[in-house]
Amino acid sequence: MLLVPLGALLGLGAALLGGFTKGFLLWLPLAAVSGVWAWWFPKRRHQAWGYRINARVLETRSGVWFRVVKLLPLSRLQHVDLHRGPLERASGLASLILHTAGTHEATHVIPGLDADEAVRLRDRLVAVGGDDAV
Amino acid sequence: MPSELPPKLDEVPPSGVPLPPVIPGATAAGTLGDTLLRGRLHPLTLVVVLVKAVRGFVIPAVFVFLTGSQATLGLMLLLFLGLHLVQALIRYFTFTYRIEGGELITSQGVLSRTERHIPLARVQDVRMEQGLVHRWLSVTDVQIETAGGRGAEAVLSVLSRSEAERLRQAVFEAARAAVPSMAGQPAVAGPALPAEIIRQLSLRDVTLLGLTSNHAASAIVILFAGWQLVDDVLPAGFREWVAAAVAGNVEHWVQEGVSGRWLILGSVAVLALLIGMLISVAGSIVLFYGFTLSRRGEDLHRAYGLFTRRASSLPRRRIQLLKIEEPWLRRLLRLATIRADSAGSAPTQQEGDKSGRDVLLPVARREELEVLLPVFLPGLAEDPADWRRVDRCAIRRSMKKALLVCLALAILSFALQRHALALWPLLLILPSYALNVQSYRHLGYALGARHFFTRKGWLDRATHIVPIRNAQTVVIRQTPFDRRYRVATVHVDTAGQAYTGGGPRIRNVPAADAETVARTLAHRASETRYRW
Repeated sequence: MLLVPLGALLGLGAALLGGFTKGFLLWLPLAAVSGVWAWWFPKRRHQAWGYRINARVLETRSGVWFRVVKLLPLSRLQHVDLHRGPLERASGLASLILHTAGTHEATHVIPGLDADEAVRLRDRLVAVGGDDAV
Repeated sequence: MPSELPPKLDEVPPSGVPLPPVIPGATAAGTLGDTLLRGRLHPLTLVVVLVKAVRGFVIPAVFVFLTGSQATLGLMLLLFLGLHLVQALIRYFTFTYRIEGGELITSQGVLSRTERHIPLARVQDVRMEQGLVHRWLSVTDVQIETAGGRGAEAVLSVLSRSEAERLRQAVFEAARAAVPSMAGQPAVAGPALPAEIIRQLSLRDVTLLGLTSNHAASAIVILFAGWQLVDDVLPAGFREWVAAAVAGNVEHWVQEGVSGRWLILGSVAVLALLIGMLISVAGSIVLFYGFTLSRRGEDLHRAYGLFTRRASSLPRRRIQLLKIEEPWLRRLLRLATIRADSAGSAPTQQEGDKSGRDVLLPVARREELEVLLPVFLPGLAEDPADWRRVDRCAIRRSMKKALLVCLALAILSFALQRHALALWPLLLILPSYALNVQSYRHLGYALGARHFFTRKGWLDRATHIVPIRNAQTVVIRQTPFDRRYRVATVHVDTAGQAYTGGGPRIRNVPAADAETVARTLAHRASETRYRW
């Protein structure tokens, strides 16, 4: 994610140093790479994101290069936050933040959910997680 | 042996002291409305505070005495002690505690009264600590810890020993009644259950513990650093002068060809080793002298210390995971260290090291483990599991790293000396291959019906055991390199990993197996409920 502004900065630096026209051999490829990156990577990242609930376990997967699968037994759910930042509100999205009593993996985030779906999912998770049937 | 032991904290209070009434086991948590125990600090609080204040005052006092006038000193002393005394008086007169409705309630303060409610079902650990002054006065500090907090939730300083014991028993009995799943069990009064001693460390055990800790190695490092410093700081030639002087003296018995300098370095190293061993043996004796691990019903109880006696109680169902450590020195002697994590607070590493809280049992013989482990995790013996190996690519991957390191070392050494003999680091490749193969053989994981096990290391061995009911999350990670070898890392997260260095994490598991194991683990975990 950081690579796009970094590439832009490097390109700008190269343009300033070498002069806009003389340094174009430097900034043009950088700009091109950043552009393709900005266009391609978010899509790829979005594709890599997924979650599913199978009866009693919530599974999330994410990551393009470094892939992570997290399996969260719903009976371990301590509480659930519904988070909506200004950008998310503007685009009608919401994230769920799930908390367990764990140490290193105590929070799980499901980002970019449709706001209504997020509420439905939260209610469902809490209902299953709080179920005392075990 | 027992006759030499200092007075123990875990002795049952004298028979004259009335014990708290037993809570009816079947009542639900909400109806426990009566006050079970009510108390305040021991009057000796004032004495303990004063002694502490004077101790803290000694060094500044010496400083002022040497530089300033005596009148200033007197004034400072009065002011200092006065402040502490006032503070202690306020604390003594306002601090009260009681057990009521399944909670421990402490309250203190004059102007702003603070009342703290601690649900007993959440109490992880009740600890007692007695410094020399405390022991002389027969009082103790009590700290009560709950899950998730940083540091102790309640500090009661100081209570008499019998009162502290009463509090400890009341807390755990009330806690048992307050937890619905435990309510059905007979809530027998604590003293009725005999304390069964699980393991008592002899002076020999504790000495071995000190000898096998790695402080000796660090002492060598420190001495060598000191030698370097001498060389840097003192005028050039000093080291040569020392070397020459010592070499002159030892010349008589040094055979021809042995360089005096190497001899000196060798003897310095031996000396460092000896000093390091002495220090670590002394440290180990001071910390763990008279270590006793006992069990009373469900509670594990530890008491240890030569000067400062420490005692702590840990209900065994609070154990989140166990780690069995066998550093190479201890492994040679067939000794192991058992660490356990509760969901209690996570102190800093230093604190854990100094107070010995980080180890459940500092030293155990390997043959004993089979008997000991089921005491800590009941049901472990009835849960057989087969060890499974990880992918063989583990050897290749670690060899690649070893090769790179050896090559870099060889290049560096050659650049410095420009001699064919300078390529000696390349010879390290063979032993490192042997080491990697051995390590691979000891890498493994096992999935039982109720426990998950991992083990790793050949020289330094570490085994993790997690009851599946304590697993919070199961994570599978795959780096781009992992993908090339079709392997993944499986990590089980649990609550409160302060002393065991993180939950079990096993690398290079074939990707398909990793998915199966993680899914099975998560599924089994979902069928249990996590209890604090």
